[in-house]
Amino acid sequence: MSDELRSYIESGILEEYLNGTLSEAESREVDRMADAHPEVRAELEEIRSAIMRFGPVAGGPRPPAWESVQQHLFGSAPAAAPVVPLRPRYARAWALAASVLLAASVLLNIWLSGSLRSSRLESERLRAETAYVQQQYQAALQPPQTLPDPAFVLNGAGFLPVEMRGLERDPEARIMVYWHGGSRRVFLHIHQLPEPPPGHQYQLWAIMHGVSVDAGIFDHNHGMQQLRIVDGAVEAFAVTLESAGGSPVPSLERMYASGPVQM
Amino acid sequence: MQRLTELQSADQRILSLLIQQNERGMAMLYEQYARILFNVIYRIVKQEAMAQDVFQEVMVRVWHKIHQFDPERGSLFTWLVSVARNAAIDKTRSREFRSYQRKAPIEGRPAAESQSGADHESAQLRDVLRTLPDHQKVLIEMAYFQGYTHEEIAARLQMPLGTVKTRIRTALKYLRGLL
Repeated sequence: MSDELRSYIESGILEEYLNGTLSEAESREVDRMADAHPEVRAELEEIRSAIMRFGPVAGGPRPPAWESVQQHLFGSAPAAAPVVPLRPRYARAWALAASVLLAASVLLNIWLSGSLRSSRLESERLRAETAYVQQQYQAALQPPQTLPDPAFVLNGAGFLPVEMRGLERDPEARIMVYWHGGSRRVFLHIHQLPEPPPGHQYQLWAIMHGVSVDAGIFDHNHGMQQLRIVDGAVEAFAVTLESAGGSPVPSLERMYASGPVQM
Repeated sequence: MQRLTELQSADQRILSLLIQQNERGMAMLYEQYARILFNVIYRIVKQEAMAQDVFQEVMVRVWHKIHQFDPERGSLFTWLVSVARNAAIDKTRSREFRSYQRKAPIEGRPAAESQSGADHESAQLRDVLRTLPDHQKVLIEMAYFQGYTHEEIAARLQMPLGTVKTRIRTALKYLRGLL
């Protein structure tokens, strides 16, 4: 550690930072130092940990207990944490996708039938389109092996396709994410991805403001599956390999694929 | 994607959970920062029950406004302190606060030793705190658990500011060594 850094750490500014007495600009300066120097971050963490550890035995006024905060925030019956679907639900996924198509088509029909009532040709086209959507909807209720190429359906139904390409670990990997503009549901379709080692699973992450948000683990053996609803300004999606059951934070050293969201 | 490499800290985990509106994120945030944020609030409103109300408001603001946090501008902690400070300042402008001040213009800050610990508190930790020399223990309690700034402590104890900072640092180092 340089003398300059040591004297910065020993200046007492970190203790003031955690006392919340620095101005916002001064605090941000400490943040920048912590980002640039792991020693500063480690020191901050130790001081914070000491304060919080000794808080309960120190005198002075106290914050409300967590139970009280929880009650205030979430009511008497705290909401359960979101459940990650552990297994793909093909029929439901397809039914949803086709329902969206059907609803969009019905709306389109209503609009078009008003403005283009005189056009028999258009009417025939609309009938054909509705029949097609109904056919897709029926198909969605069938077992997955009877389904057509999923991308064929999803591409036309308000889904934003995001292509994730393989990284260093497997440049051949290719996975498509279909993110629905309305429901914010995420569907994932594996084109190419190596078999995970025993006890491991792949996990999808949505990157927002540089932060990774868990979008669910998925099954390597199934082509198309529905994952978590993802809402917000997603910049990119990425896939990492995690221990079975997933992880709250991504294992960066085991990232297999990523792709930017292009609105 | 470079910023992915910064994701390993507890703050990032809290942030991820909060963005997903996962209750565990608030529990972790409370565990990490409750006492520190409460101290920021208490320093401004100077009344325990009112500080507790503000603390609850801050937790609600954080839960509902986490999307307003911009990691490019600073850390989660800096943002949290700013939310807490603003909420406390808002409170001091309220009719409730002014009315309270008229009725009870001066509330003495509790002395460091005047409050007993809750029943569940660890006697062992209390013993550790007791092993601190009194002049250091008072400083730690005033700074981190009674809402005083370092400058206020220096003025109140008629001690040079530099000495206050050094003693607080020495005491915290001592406590850290015992964790």
